[in-house]
Amino acid sequence: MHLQGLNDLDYNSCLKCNACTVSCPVSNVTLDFGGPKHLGPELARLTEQQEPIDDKRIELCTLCGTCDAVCPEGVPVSSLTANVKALHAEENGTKFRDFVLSHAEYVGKIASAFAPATNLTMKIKPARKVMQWVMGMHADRQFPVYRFNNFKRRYTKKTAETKRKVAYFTGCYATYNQPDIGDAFVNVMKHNGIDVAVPKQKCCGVPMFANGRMKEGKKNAAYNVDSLLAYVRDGYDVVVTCSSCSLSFKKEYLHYLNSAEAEELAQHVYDANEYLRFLKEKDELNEDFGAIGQRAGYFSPCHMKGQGIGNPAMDMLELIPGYEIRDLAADCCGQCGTFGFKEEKYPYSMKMGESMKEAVNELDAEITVTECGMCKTQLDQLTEKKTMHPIEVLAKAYETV
Amino acid sequence: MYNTAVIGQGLTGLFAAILSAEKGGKTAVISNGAGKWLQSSGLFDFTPGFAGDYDSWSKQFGPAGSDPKKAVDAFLQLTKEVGYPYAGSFEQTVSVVTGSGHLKQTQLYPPTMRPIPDKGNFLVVGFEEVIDFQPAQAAGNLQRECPGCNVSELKVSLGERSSRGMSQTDAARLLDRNGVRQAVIASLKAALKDRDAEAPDVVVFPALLGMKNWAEAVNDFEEAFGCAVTEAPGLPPNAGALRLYQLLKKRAVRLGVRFYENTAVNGAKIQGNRVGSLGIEQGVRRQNLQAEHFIAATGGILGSGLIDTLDGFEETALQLEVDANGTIIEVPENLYPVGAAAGIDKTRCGITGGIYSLVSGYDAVDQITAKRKGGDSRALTGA
Repeated sequence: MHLQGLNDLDYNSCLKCNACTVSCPVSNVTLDFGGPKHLGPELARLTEQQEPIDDKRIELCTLCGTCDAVCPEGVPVSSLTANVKALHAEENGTKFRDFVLSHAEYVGKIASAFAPATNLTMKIKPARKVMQWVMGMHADRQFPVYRFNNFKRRYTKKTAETKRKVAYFTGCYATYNQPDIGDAFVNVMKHNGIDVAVPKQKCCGVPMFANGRMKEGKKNAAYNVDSLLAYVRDGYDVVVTCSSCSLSFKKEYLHYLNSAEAEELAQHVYDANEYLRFLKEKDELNEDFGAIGQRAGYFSPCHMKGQGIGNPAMDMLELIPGYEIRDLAADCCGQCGTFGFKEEKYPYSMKMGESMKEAVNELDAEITVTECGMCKTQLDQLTEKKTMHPIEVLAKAYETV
Repeated sequence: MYNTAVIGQGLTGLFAAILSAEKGGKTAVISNGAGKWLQSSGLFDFTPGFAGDYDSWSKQFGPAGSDPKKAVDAFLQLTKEVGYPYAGSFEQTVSVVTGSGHLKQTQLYPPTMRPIPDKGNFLVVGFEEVIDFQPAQAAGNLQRECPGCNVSELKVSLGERSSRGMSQTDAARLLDRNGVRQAVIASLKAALKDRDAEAPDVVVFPALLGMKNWAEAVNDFEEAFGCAVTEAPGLPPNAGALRLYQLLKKRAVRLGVRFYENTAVNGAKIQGNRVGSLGIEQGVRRQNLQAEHFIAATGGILGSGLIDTLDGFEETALQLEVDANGTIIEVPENLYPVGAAAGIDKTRCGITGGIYSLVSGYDAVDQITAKRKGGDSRALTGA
C-alpha cells in the first residue's frame, strides 16, 4: 500500500479525542459507520506492523474532509480513510455501478450525446426502477440533466492572447450537465478583459478516489497535471468553477501523486471567485456590476470549506449593488458526489440532507447559491429554491446595466 | 482586507470573532483544527480547574483592570440567543457532579447541567452501550463526596446497536429521537418498580441528554421522574461542549465571519510596531492575509501556539520572541494575545478557558472597537 506520500502516515499525533467522529456528517446520522477516528488513525496505527485489515464499513466514508478541518492535532484523517477505501476496492473489486459512477466523464460523453433521450429516461419512474434493480441506483434520486450542446461543443478555444490568460478547468458537471456555468465564466472573464483557454483535460479523479479506484484516479491526475502545467509555465492562471475539482488540484493530487509537478501546479490553481478576489486585490477587477435586488443564501460545499480560503463567493457577490447574501451555515448536503445516487447509501444521504434543508428553510432566501453541482442535485431535490452557481449570478450582474 | 483576523477557533478565538463581527468589524478566523472544544466539559470555571472565589482568582490570574461582568453578561446573552442558555455568575460558585461522580466547583453551566444540592436522594443512571460512564463508580464517588446524600444507581439499555464504540455524543443523538427516549423511560420505570427506594430528588445522567433536542430530552426525563435531571460531563467528547461549539460556529458563519480552515499561520510581516499581514499556509500554498488588527488565540502549549524547546519557549504562529513564560516580549500595537496565548502564567496545567477566556477575548475586541471608533484605523473600508 504505497498509494500516497509518506507525510500522510503521520497519525501518531492522534489523541483519540473523537473530534473527527462527532463532526463527521455520516457518523452524525448513523451508527453503521465506523467513523473517521476508528477507520483513520486507529486502524492505521493497528495495522502498521501487520497485514492490512479490509473493513467494509469504509464504504460509508464520503471523503468530504470535515474530519481534517476539525482535528485539533493536525492528523490527515481523510487521507488515511482514502487508503482504507482503496484497499477495500482492491480486495473486493468495485461494483459495475461504482465503476460507472466513478467515470462521470464517460457517462457525460455518452449521456450528453443522447441527451434528450437520456434526460427523458431518467425522469420516468419505471426506468428509474429498472436502474435501481439493474444498477443499484436509487429510484427516488433525481439525476442531473445532460446537455447535448455540452461545453466542449460550445467552446473550443485552446489559447489566450490577453495579458492575463486563464486556463479553464471545466470539470465534468459544467461540461456535460450545466454548460451555462462555463458560458458564464467565459463572460465574466471577458468583462475583465481576460481570454479563456480550455486545455485538454480529463475528469479530476475525485469520483474515482471516492470509489476507491485510486489507480485510475492517479492516471487522470497525472494527465491533468501534465496538461495544465504546460499552460502554467506559459504564464496562464488555472481557474476552476467546481469546488471538488479545485480541491483535488490543491490537496488530493499532492497526496496521491506526491510529485514536484503536482506541487508546482497547486500554487497556480484558483477557485473562480478566489481568482476574482485576487484580481480585486490587485485593483484589476471590473466592478461595474448592475444592481440585482435579490436575497440569496449561500451553501458552502464541504470541498470549498476544506480549501481554507474564506468565502470568496460571498466576497464577490457582496459587491453587487442590491444583492443580499448570507451564509446558510449548513452542514454537508449528503449527496457527496456519487454517494447519494447509490441504492444502499440513499437513506443516509436523505438523513444527512435534513439539516441542510432546515437551514435553507430557516434563512428563507429567494435563491440558493453554491459552487458544487452535486450539492445542487441535493438542494434541487430537497428544497423548493432555485440554485445557481455564483459565477452565473456575477455574469448576470455584468450584463445588467 | 479584514478589520480583525483571529488566529484559532477555540473558545477564546470563536467568542472574540463573534463579538468582533457583532460590532460590525469584517472578521476572519484562521484555524488548523477546532481547538480544544471537543475535549472540554462545557462547564465554565474561572480558569479550568480553579476552585476558589473571584477575589483569589483575580489576584492570581485575572486580567488586570478588566470587568468580568461585561464579558460574562455578553456570553450569557449570546448563549441565550443561540438557544443554549447558560446560567451562573462570576460572583457565586456552585457544585456540579462530574462523570466520575466527584463534585467540582464551577461558575457558569449549561441548561443540561444543574448545581447539585448537598442532601437528598440521587439516582445515577448509566447505559449498557455507553462504556465510558460507569454508574456504580460515579454513585460510589458521589456518595463519598456527599455524606448527606443517599445515592443509588441503575443501568439500562438504549436498545440500539452501534458498529463503533458508542460515545456519549452518539447516545445524545439517539436521545434526540422521541421513540428512543420513550423506550428508555419505560425501561427505567420498569427497573425502578422492583425497588422500594424513595423517589429521587435528582437524577444524574452521563452527558447525553439529546444533541439538538436537548430541551425536549431534559423535559421528558424530568416529567418521567418528577424531579430535576442533570448531565455529569466526563470523558470527551462531551455533548455540552459540542452543542455550544456547533451553535457558536453557526452564529459566527451567519454573521459573515470568514473561516480559513485547514490553514496554518507561519510567520508575519512586521512593519514598525504593527503586524502588516500573516503568512498563511494550506499545504504547499502560501499567501498573505491582511487585517487592521490581529487576535492571537493560538491556545498556548496545549493548542501548539507555544512549544517548549530545550532553548525555551517558541511562539509558533507569528514567530515573535517570547520570554520565559511564553509571553510575547514586544507586542505589536495591533496584536492582541488572548487566552493561553498570553503566556503560561495565565494558565493552570497549560490550559485556559472558562471565564478567563471570555474576559480576555472580550477585552481584546473592546480595545479594537475603541481604536476603530477613535479613528485610529482605516476601519470598515474593507470589502
